[in-house]
Amino acid sequence: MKTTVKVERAKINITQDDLAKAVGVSRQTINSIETNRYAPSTILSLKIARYFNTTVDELFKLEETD
Amino acid sequence: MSTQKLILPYKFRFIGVFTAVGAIVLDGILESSSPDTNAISLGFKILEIIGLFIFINSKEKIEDERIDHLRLIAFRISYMIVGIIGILFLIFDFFRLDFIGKEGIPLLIITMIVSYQLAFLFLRRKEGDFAKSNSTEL
Repeated sequence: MKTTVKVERAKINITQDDLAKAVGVSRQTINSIETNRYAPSTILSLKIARYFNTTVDELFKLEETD
Repeated sequence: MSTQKLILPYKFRFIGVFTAVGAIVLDGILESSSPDTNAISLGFKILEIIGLFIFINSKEKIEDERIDHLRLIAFRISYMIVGIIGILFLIFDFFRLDFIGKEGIPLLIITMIVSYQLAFLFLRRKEGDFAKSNSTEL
């Protein structure tokens, strides 16, 4: 799964810690999502999408190998 | 279903450690002073297990869905280890190789707790949870 969380974060110039606090998870969880080590739940995906004012589809894209 | 409701609050970690360490120390003192105290010693062993059980079933400082996921993997690993050891116990018992005796059940419980905790720490380390935090990363 490809994710654009890091790109979205860079656009509004916020840190992993800021995003983590906003969506109620640890900084390491945001790091794991950005580096594709962890696939977030639907609820967390929706929270992140809402924070960036975008959709889950825009943030996460399925790859052939998924 | 999230396991968050099935787990104790963070402060219970300290209660668990205090109970287990206290029981281990008192058991050691008791055994060195008078070796013929089986009932009390068993009581301390039960307290040790309860303390460790409370410790592993308490929340982390920041408990989120990824930690929940890692817990599940750690429990799977621990379940497999205990399952294999349990089968080996049965095989030894079948061949009358009773070298574990009455210590078998507490040994299995402690193996489960320790293997779970080691697997959990290993997984968190692998994920970089203990690496130096760089909270300003953009």
